[in-house]
Amino acid sequence: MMALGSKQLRAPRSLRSQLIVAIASTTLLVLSLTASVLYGLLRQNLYAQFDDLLGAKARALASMIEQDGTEIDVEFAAYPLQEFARQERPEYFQVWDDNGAVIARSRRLGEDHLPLINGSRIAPGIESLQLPDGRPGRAVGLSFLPRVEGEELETASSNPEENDTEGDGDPDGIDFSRRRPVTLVVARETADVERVLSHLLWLLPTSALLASLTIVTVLAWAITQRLAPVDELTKQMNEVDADHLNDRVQVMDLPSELQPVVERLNDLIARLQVAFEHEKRLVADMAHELRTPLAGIRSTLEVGGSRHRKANEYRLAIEKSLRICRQTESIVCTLLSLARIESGREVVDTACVDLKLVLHDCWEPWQRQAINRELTVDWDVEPGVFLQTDATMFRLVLQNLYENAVTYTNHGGNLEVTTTTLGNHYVIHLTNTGCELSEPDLTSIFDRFWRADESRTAVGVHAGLGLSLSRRIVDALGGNIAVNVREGRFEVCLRFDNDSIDREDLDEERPRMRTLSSVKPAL
Amino acid sequence: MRVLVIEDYEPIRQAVAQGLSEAAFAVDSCANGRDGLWYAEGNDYDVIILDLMLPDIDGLTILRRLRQQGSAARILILTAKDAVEDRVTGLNSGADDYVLKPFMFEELLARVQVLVRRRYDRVSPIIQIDNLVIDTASHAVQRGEESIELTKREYSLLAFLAMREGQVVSRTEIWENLYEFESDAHSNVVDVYIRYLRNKIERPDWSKLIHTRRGFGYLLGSEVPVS
Repeated sequence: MMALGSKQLRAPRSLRSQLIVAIASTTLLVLSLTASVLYGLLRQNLYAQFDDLLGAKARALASMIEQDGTEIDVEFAAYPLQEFARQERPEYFQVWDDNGAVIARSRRLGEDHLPLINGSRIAPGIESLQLPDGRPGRAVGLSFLPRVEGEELETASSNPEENDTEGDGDPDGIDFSRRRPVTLVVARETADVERVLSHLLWLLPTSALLASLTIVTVLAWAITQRLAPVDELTKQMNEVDADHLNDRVQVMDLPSELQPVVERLNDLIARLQVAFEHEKRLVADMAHELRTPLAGIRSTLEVGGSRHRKANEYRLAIEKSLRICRQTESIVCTLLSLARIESGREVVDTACVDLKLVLHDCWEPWQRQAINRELTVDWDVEPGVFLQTDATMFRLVLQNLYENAVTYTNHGGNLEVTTTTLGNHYVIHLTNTGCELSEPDLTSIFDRFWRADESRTAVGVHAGLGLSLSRRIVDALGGNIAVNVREGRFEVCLRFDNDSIDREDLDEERPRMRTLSSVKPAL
Repeated sequence: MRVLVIEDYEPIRQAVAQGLSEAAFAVDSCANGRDGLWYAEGNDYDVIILDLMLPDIDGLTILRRLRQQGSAARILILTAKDAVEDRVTGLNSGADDYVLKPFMFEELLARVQVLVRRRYDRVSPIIQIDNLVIDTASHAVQRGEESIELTKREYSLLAFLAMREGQVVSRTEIWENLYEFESDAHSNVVDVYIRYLRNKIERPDWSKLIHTRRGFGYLLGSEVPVS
């Protein structure tokens, strides 16, 4: 079993699942928090209402406590109210005097006592407690001055100053010095509140959960619907392969965010298709250029050796096979040169080359053929111009260009070799008549094995590698090669920076052109 | 048997034409599609060896046109295009065989012989008529226990008659299948070669196999059909 590396590749997570998980968890969190806050608020509210009611009750009971002389009369002690007297879930009260002595208490308290809770009428003290019978409850405590018998209820207050309406220290003629403050505590169970709260305790989370599930379900459906174009896009992309590059991705109802992506995708597929077709064509052309001569050699030798023949017949078969071998060798060598130049392994040996001399020197092998084809050649080459370049490689370029020109110029046509200076460049023009190429052909003219003749006749003689090799060489020499077709004239322009050009009036000690043996042109 | 070779690459065209000719086929050859189509439409070839990448008219166009015209010639594509889609296209367009370059000539020859047999609805390379046995693969001819040596033309004539055993074959047909299109042979050469053949394969103690039908031609068979 192969050991896994430290960085294990994880399968990418689905956008859909990420969205659903994010929305689900966020929804659940928000709803849970909301439920919690709501529960807290409701609990607070319910207890506040409870406390208010209990406080109001305590204040009401407080008004039923009078001071008669020095005695405190708790009216509801002798005649307990129903809620204090009942057996089932009673309420409780207890009253203390200012000395802390219990003045009155619910009978239902039995031996138990309520806690002493101080507070005012306005702000009664409130405590949670356990009632004597074990029920949870809350108690409200008021400390106040009981109403003196005959006193109006509204003026009774635990704070004498509040009753001093005239501001003379004497609250309306009542002698507050005799009043004895008492403390009343009323207690009641909180079972109802707790019951409501316990209902809320399961209702709120359950609702939050159900709401989350509903929202997530609806959103998941909506996301699935909205991501359907992405699924379609994925499906179509999976169908794109090397054998189906004609197809383009087309998705209905594509979101605007994805349209630029699809357009770019289709553009890339189109370019890939062109590249694949180019590659296929290149392989087919190369196969033709290599297989055909091999078939020629093989069939010539097999038929030649199939029976006993005269010596002359054998010799002719061998000579023919050798000729084909040489042509094939040239193709292979050209391909290897291309490979070397493209890999950067070709060494450029720069020297000073007399341009006019090398242009004429390379033309010489083609002169006879030009004469045979009755071609006129016009020269307009500036003398005394020296090019800093690799002489061998430059000659190879010229020989390829001359071969093409002589081959494809119409019988009786014209060739021109001229040089000019254009801005920062020195340009060598090679123009010939009889061109049958069109503008669209120029986009492929530098491709390997490209030929205008789709039947690829003259196998071994013209392989379609000359211009391809020339371009690679000129690039390696730091120049530029371009072609142009205009009104039946084909023009090749070799362009070099003026930096690589010297003129004869400069340093006389600079080395001149090296004389080299001619190099076989590429086919 | 008559073969047309349409191939623009001279070494292949010349070698194949020579090899087939030496194998007793009457061979015509062309270097471009226009000439090839003209030859194929104007003559009844048994087999056409067709390159695909031809100047003027490409091989696939020639193939489709011949099939549209109902040509009965067996067509063998000989090409450097080895992609599956090229082979499928060629066969689906009506080719009978598809051979890639480079190829073994012996194999090409064997495939041509197969196509010739198919043209005449023959399954086996061995043709036996009475006690005459012709091996079309090795060109060996035997009658009874005796091997018979035939020249190239004699064998071509015998094989052509044997393929059409029991059928009357005219002098014109015989002449067209023995000689190339541009041959300058005389018109009585057929009679001459019939005589040569009779001298070699017919003996007094052997049954007559080559029969003359005056005004019509000749037929090869063990019995003369009742007129």
